[in-house]
Amino acid sequence: MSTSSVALRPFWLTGPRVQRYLFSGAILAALGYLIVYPIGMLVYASVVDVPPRPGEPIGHLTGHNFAPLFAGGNLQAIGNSVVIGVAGTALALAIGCALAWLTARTDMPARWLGQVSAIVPLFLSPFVGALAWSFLAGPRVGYLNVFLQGMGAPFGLNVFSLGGLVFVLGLYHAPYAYLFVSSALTLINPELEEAGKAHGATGWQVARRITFPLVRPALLGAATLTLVLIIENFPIPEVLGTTGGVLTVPVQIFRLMEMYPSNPNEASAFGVVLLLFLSLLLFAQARLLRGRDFATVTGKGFRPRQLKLGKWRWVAFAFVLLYLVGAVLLPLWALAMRALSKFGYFLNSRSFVDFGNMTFKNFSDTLSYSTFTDALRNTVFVAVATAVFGGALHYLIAHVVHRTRLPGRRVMEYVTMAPIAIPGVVIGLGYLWAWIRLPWPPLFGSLWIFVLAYSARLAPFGFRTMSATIGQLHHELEESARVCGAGRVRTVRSITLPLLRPGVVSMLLLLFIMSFHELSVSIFLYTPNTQVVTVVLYQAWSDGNTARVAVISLVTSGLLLLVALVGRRWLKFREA
Amino acid sequence: MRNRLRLPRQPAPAAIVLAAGVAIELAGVTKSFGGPRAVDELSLQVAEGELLVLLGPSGCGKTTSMRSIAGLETPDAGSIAVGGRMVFDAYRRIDVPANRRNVGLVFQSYAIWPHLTVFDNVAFPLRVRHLPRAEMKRRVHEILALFDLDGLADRGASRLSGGQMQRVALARSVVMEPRALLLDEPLSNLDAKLRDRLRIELRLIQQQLGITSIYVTHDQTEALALADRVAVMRGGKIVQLDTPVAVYSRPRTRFVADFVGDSNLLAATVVGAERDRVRVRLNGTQIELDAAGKAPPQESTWVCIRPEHLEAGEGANVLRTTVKVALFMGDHVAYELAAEGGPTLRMVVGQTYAPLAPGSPLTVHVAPERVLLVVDE
Repeated sequence: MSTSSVALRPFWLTGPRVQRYLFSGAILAALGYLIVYPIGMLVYASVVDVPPRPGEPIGHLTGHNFAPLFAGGNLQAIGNSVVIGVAGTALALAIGCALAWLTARTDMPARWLGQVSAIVPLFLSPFVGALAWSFLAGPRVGYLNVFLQGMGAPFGLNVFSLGGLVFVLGLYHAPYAYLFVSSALTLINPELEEAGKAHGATGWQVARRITFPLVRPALLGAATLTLVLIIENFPIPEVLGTTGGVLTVPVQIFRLMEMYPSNPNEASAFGVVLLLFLSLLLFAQARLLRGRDFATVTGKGFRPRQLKLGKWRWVAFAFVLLYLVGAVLLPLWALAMRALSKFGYFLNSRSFVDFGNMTFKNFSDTLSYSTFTDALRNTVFVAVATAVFGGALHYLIAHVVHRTRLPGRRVMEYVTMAPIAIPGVVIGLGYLWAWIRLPWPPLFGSLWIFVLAYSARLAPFGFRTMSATIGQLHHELEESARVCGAGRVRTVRSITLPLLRPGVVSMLLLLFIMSFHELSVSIFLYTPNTQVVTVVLYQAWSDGNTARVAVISLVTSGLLLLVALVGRRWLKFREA
Repeated sequence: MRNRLRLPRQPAPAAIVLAAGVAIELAGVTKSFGGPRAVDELSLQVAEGELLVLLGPSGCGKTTSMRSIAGLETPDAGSIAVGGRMVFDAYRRIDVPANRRNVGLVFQSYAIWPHLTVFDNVAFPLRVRHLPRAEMKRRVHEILALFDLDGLADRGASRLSGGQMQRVALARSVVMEPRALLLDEPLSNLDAKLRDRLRIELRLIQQQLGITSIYVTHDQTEALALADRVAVMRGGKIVQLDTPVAVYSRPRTRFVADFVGDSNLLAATVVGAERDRVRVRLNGTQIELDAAGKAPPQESTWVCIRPEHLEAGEGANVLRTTVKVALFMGDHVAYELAAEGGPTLRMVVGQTYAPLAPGSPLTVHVAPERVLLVVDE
């Protein structure tokens, strides 16, 4: 045996001290390259007086960049962000919790539809949703307003407003709240609630005194995450707020870069402020929740108790249907209408069914528009590469953190989780400063910069998903392969990966889909030769080419729904 | 074959002898996980073909010791030899990785790979050793037959009962003809009836294969039933290492007496000693008892009386008691007795006649050689 096993000798992970440190060092270097260095460059740009562009001098240290942030338009943006964040989170939580509770704990009809409705909006990106709602509820000419006028309603909808922003943000962030709360609800041991019943509590008292306190940590987690996601969201406020004059912080950062003359240092300073604020928020939440995650104490799945809704069953069902219509069906219908329309506007409700008004020319135009087809090809490449390389890195880090005692693994975990507090526009700006100046490696102007930036941005998601998957695997399953004579590599290959396959495939699919949606990072990194779909979509929107907007939105959404449909038996969602 | 270890050189502790007839040897093995030592300078020799049980409460270091032998934990100090080969030595910086120690391990969870069939589970150790196909098949089928699993070869491992999983785990561990077999509470996840049957099966197969084994458990019944020798552990150290009979009938410390078997443990003071007789008084009472044996070094000591060694009737060491509770257990009656002016005692009477009513007076006695004096460590 000893001669044949020499070939299997593992030289890494268990190896001597030097190899262990080399391996850890390599991972930490990769993380430094992906996350620490770009953010460091952003911080640097925020405290000097010249932009870190090629050809510029090094510059002098200054605190002046931070001064204008709390005045004028910037201050207003901060105010808007706070209002929108709080109101949007409240709406998202209300919808998400209601969906979670209805599907997990009641006898509502067609509960599967509730689950589907809560997940599908994730595939329709918030960007596409915002664009579709701008067709639906633009003042006067919005499709819904056309109907309202036809019915003689004395009022009209206006989505280009603070209220409209809150509505669309809440609509598309409800799935995150849903994922958090529904997993907590299914993890509660029903005996805890039955014990309450047995000791004389009514159904309502059980809900208030037992169930609610048990899911409160999950609720708080959902609230914080949703708040962070809404505040850092760029596409929705960009599409809806810009038209309506409601700017938020990420949009303002982008404006500072776009306007002439641009103000990169102030933008960077604003980014640093936003980053610090979100970090503080997440830190406070972590402190608050420390050691109080009781909903997941058992970790088992239970067949939960179901509340009989009686005649309210159909009200509940109508609510689910309303959400599905508002978040998915109406937007898709609006996009289809605009994509098929010759002129792009509808006089009255009858014109929506006037087939003489319809054409496929918009489709053929856009599909033969080479900028779009090139961008589509680029996006597929970037999304696949992100899923493969980013996913491999996320898996590797999760494996090292949870299954080895390599030095530096705590640091790896912190750095990998850090981007959860880093807004997309901040990552985009950081990457811009990080690579625009260096002649080598020539990342800027290549598609690989997207792969790196997406891998960094999605690192917390990938790491958390993989950690959860690895955590479900009993460590003895791997150890028994080791004592049976398999080396580390062989163990991962024939035991770990086959057992984790559903989780891994699910993560790869989600990374692919999320890469496809990415706008806030991409908007800073594209060049004329390296565009991605969301950037082309953004340009079509800013050019006012609504037909192209509709077609691109439909094509990409259809593509992703198809991917999700094909991969649906592997897709497993958890709060990330 | 040897990996260098990431430890500073340190003075050589108790050395390994690599004596003939010794299959597993530990010397000065120490391991801590940042707190107090989980394993504290543990030294141990297991003879060829012997089944040694590591017995102790949870957290006593028994599992860590076993995992160190398997190579799944790296001790901070000490050395380990298996089958005459040094597999770990902190001083000489030897650390043979787990996959090249050829030590079988049956996990508490069994760790049967759910994505493989029973056959593939058992064949795994041979596959990673690149055995020729025909030979591999022959050996797997041989082992499956030995464990009465031949009918299940193609069954997916996720569709097995607890008892079947346990057997697959065992088959997988012995198919590679390991130098030693380690078992980590292999019966703890089974129901009582099945446990009794598998315990006998396990012992039979171990004797049949003559395989040196270390068996870790917190269940003293299991330990006494299976072991050639029992090592009772506490706080990372071995408190007593002896045959099951000796551990039960001559516990060295109060902890061993309490942990192994049922016992009446009473604090006492030595009041007199002759050549082979010690007289002690139970603390806080006027009761004096004779114990056989030499006087212990300290005056204060502990007395251990097994419930089955109390007998009704007059004799040496008489105690006047009253029945508090009597429980009829089928093959015996368990009494709780209040001794006059003294402690509560438990007594077990083997005959199955009707138990005495509570409040009945009962005179009991215990032979001096059954009064065990144990130290409090």
